[in-house]
Amino acid sequence: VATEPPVLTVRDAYEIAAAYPAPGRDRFYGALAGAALGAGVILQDVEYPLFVIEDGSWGRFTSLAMVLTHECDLDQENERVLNDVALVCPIIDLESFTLRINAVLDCATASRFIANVSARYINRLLYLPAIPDHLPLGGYLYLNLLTNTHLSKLTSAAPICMLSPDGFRELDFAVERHFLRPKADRMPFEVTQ
Amino acid sequence: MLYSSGMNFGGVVASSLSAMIGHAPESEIRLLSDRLPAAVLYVTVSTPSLAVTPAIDRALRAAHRDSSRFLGRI
Repeated sequence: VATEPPVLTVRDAYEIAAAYPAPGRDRFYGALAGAALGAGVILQDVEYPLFVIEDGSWGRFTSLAMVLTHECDLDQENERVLNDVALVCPIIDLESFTLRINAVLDCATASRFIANVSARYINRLLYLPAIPDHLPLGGYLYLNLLTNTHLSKLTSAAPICMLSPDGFRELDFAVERHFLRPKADRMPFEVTQ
Repeated sequence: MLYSSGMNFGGVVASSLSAMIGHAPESEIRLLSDRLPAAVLYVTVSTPSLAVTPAIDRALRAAHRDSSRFLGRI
């Protein structure tokens, strides 16, 4: 009798993703408490553009997302130029990812991938712990899926919470690992005109 | 010239860095002095990285669509 190959359940994926110890992973978020709109703030229903590879066009999406631009660059009280757009990173929930990855990987490989992300071996992805009522099993920041949006799309979105100092440390390390890697190629020392 | 963490001098520094750098527990720490004076070391930290295969890329894109609401083409 043929048996169905095992698939990774959402619950198992969550247990794997959340199992890796990280200082402060259990105190990753804090209340907004009047904090200004800026880096580390997570909002619901943020509208942003992304390229849709399947049909080769750009689309407008709305989802849970994290702001990455510093609050000083968004504060309208600051008399400075260039302070009306922000970098944001959409948050991909773990449940959706688990269901989709089951379609392309076997259970063992999918489990290893999720474990490797949580162990921080995959620079492009950062596992975000659960946010009750909004991200019940946690989710991912895909650091190559950053996009930008206008300030008006942030002020019209619903702020949920923001990163705690421990959460910021994880984000800072992830950003450093991903974006501040030394170039693999030789850099040119000869200046071209 | 590349000092690997297995070398004596590099190993001492690398183990100290490993203790400090909790976010990269199994990172490969390389001390590079290439093109720099001997007294100045340029420290790089790299982590093992798995390739995000096209299949996982597709899964991530699909998961993003599932996690978001499509409002229309631009």
